[in-house]
Amino acid sequence: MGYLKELGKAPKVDEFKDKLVIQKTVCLLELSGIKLGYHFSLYVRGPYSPSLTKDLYDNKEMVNKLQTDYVPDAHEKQLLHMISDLSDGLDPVLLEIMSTYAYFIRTLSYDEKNAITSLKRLKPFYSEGRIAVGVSRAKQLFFKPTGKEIEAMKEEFGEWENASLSDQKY
Amino acid sequence: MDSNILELVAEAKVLNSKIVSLPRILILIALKDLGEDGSTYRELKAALDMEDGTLFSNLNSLEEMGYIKGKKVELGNKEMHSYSITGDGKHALDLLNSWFVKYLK
Repeated sequence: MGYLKELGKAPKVDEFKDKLVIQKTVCLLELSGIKLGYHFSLYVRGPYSPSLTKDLYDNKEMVNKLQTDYVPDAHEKQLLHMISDLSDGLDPVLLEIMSTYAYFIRTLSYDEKNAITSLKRLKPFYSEGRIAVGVSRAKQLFFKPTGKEIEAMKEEFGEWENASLSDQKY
Repeated sequence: MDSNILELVAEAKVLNSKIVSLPRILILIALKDLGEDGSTYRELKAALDMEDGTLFSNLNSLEEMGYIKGKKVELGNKEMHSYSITGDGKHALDLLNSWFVKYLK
C-alpha cells in the first residue's frame, strides 16, 4: 500500500482492472529484487499470486483507503517510478505484457525466443505491436549491463566521443 | 496399495461424473486458485487452447451445475466475460482429485 500511495494510485479491490494492475506491479517488483513475500506462479492469467489476492480482500477497506504508514525507501521509490513510467502510468496491458515476459525470462529461465513465443501463446489477443512495446519496456526495466557489455559499449561510444572531440579542435 | 474394487466403486458414487471430461476438468483446474478474480473468457481460451464451441458449451454446463459463476468485467473500455470457481466447484474438484490420487497410483 505504501507503494501505491507513492504512485498516487487509490485502487478499488472490487475493480478488475485495479487488481490486475496491483498483481502485475507487485510481480515486477518481486522480479526486480524487492521481496514482498508474494510467490508468483504461471496461471491462465499469466504470473499471479493467490496470496496477494487474499491479502487484498482481507484488507479491502485499508487498501481502498490506502491506509498505511509505510514509506518506500529511495531505491524502492526509484524502481516504482521506473515501472510506472515504462508502463505509461501503470497501463494494465503494458504491465501484463512486461510482467509475463519478465516472468518467463527471470523465473522460468526461458531464452528470448521461447519467452516471446510463450507470451504470444498466452496473450494472443494483443497485437504484435503491443507485445513488442511491452517486451522492450520489460528489457529496459531489467537491463543491467555485464562488465563485458560495458566494455563493448565504451569501445563503441568511445569512437564517437573521439570523433566528436577531434571535430571540436577545428 | 491393496486393491478394493468395492471401495473404489462406492467412493466413485459421490463424484459428479458430469465434470469428468477433459475440457471441464481443465477449466476447473485453471480457475481453482484464482478465487474471486477468476479469468476472462479470452484468457481461458488462449491458455487452454480450446475452440470457442468447446469452451463456451463447457463453461455453460459448469455454470448450470453451479460450479462456476460468470460476470462481466471492464478492461480498457472493453466489456468482457469473466468466470470464477464457486465453493461447490472447488469441492467437486477436490473429491475428484482425492479419488484419482487414491486409486490411480
